[in-house]
Amino acid sequence: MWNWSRTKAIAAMSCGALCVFTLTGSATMARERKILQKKATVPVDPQNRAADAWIDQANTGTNHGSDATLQVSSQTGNKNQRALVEFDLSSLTNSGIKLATLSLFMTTAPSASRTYQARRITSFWKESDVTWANRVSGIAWTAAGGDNDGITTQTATTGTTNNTTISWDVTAAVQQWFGSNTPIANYGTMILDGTENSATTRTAVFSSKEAATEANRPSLTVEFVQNVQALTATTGNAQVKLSWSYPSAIGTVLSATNGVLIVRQSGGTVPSTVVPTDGTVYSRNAGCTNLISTATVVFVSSSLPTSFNDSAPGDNADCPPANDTVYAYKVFAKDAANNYTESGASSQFVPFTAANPSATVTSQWATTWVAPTGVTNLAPPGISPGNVVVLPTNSNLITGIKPSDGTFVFTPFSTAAGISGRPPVLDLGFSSTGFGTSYTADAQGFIYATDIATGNLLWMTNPTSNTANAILGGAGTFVVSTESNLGLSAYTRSTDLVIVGTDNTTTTSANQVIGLDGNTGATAWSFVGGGANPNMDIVTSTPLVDYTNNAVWVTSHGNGGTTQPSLWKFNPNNTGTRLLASANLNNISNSASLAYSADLLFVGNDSGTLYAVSTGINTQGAAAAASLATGDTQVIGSPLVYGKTSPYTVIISTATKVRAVKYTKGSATFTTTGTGTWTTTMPGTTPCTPSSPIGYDGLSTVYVGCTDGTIYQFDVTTGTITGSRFVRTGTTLGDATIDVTLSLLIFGASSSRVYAIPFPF
Amino acid sequence: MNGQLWSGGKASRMKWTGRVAMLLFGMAALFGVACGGYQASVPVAPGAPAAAVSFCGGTESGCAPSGSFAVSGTRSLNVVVEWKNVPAGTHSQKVSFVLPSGDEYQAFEQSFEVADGSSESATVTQSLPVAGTWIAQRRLSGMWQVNFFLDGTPMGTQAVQLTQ
Repeated sequence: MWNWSRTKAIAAMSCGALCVFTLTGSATMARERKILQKKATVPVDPQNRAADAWIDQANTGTNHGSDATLQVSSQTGNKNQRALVEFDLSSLTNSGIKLATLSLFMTTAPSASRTYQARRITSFWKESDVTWANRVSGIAWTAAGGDNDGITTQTATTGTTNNTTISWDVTAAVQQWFGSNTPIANYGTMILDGTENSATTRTAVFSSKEAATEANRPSLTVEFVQNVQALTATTGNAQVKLSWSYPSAIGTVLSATNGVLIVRQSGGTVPSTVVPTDGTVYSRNAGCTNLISTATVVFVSSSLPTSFNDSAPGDNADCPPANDTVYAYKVFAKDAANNYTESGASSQFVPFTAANPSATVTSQWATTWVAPTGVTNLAPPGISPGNVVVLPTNSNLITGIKPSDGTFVFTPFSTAAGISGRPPVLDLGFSSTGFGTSYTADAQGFIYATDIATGNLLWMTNPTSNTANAILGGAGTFVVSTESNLGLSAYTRSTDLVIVGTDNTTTTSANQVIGLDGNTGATAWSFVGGGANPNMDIVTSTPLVDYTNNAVWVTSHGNGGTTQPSLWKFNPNNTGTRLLASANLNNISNSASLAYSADLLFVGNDSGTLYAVSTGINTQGAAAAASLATGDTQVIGSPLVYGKTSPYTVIISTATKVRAVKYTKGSATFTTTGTGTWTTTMPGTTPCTPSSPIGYDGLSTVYVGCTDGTIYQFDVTTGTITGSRFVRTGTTLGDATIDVTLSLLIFGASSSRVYAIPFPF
Repeated sequence: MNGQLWSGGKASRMKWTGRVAMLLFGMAALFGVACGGYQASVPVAPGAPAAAVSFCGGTESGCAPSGSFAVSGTRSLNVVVEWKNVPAGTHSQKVSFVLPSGDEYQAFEQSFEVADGSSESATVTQSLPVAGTWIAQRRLSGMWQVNFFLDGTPMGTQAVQLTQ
């Protein structure tokens, strides 16, 4: 399985203060040995996300996360023991994994040789909580003793000699964590006896990351190929110019990079199944009929190029790109032995870009970057403009991307479940945590605070200890520094507040809204529907923070009608009446939007009605100030509200249209005719379904992605479509995020990608 | 109709027939699949692991078994997989939901335990939220494919219709 020469190893690993590894030279293929160790107090330790523990069937509630040993035992009478090991792989950015070997140092061998299995753990667990029964405090494994992949083929024989190293080939698991067609979350590896319940107790003791002797701690040796980075494209007349750079090498170099292989495919994407075969020499031929799967080989160079001019007068006289066609490119780094960035699996993490050459300058465009997400990803990214894009994904990963070039700020961090809502991002200096912080909520009800500079976990919690209480919306964040900057003082908490609502589809009455301390994750307060409180159906939206009125607005479903609330106004402080007001507006799946002066909010329901609601409401079952039945099935996303004072312009998406209406405070109706109001039906014989509109007050354009794979630019005043960017046929585009610093639209798609495209078009 | 049989991890498929339907009906009655059990199946090769798959849609009034679901009235799509002839130990079920466009929407992995000496089937339910999700927001209707895996081995594919 491993057949290329390693003749160019030029440096040896050494250990610094934290003894992780040393970066050496430029390489395409390299080896790195990771040593599991205690968390450091500084957030730059690449093993900060690492964990190990052992779990004991005889004591199902006992945690051994801080022990200096890991025990594996086979013993009848429900007394088996298993070890759990998880490495932080965050330093292996943008790499294709070729080989991964897990090693444990066995201080005490079993009295008879045993066969130990290495299995991939399939559920999120917490080192300080994990036991035989529970993976996180209060949350049981689905299968007691640890959820795992059930694959029993990765084995090692222990022997009976003390102080020996036992190793397992865990390549398949590590490839899945990094480069598989559908990347999956890294929850580590379980070591267990292949024949448990032995009549004679057979126990092995290994050193853990808490072991005093550093060299004896668990290690993971990984051989991998690093790819190019910062891939960009610029377009011209029948021309696409690509440029890229080579990353600094990681670990011990085995074989140096000598060039790249580039493939191209029209239609907006190169499938992830387009993967070159290691050891194979590829070339472009006349007519460009040489393919890798469905993609055309357009460039191969062994001279460390940093650019490729895809044009007839440039580097490709054989098959230059045609105008007005969207092309996707993938770049694979290679070495002298023709080992490629990816092989044998797939290529989700291979640099990728799309470009549209044209004779018309205004039609020339290219993505600034494209990032892989593994599966469909329609959640809007979180952003610190110009600084970091936080990508939430349905594949249980959070990734930090540099918005200017698409390189990793931090590599995928594994969550317990998929993420559907936009993670709020607070810059350093704004968050009360003392770190630039992002809050992410997932579909098992976990919330994570992440340092946006490093991806390190600041805290995580599941406040209800119930994985059925999914969180589909994002986390609302009441920020102390913003309250202060606005000159307000009604918010009495000293730290930021993170607010989430639950989506427990098994109840239409007992869903919850929870306020968490932003610094610690501790529950500050909670509201549970039912009982003395009004019934609360599922919450699928992100709570809206209203600093002016010191309130948090939450929308929910209303059990399919108007007999229970679906718009809720909460007090964010620790004390005082929690529920301040509510309104029964039928099912609402999206967040409300505040007017600039916070005297009104606007919200659309799932039946296609837009409401204006006074933020001053203070009763249960309060009436809306005005409503507008759009007649178009459903209001999609949150309204955009323009204007500093009434009358406000409200732009909404519905099932097939985008429209702008006006509302004058105090009026019982919306204004749907006259200057500044418009209705535009989305393109298509059957109009595509638009995303939530995005723009900002002062911008003359508004943007909407659609289910036809195109993002459209509308004139705010007239509703005329003034431009578009086609991404890919048959692709549904998600809600976009705007980087106002770099003038980028960033949006996910069902094609398992997140795209960054400059605007205006 | 969405009856399918799989066995032995080879993604082998048997067409729905009246005779098999009768057998499946009997199996469904015997095993009582959760959420009402829209269908069930038996292994083709005796002793080989096999999956019987059924769907039910969570609504505001309960969980209704079907092969077609209206997005607007479905809170969650529950996939009930009944595993037969799976050896004792911890196993992993993966369920992958694929959009009509062919793009993977989401995949879920879930462990389950088969006790030593157990002859019982193991039933594992995977819930895909629908209400308020991107499925409802983008009207992602049409014929979805649901792929099933046991311990990493493909076990088959089942179609399910989502309508507006």
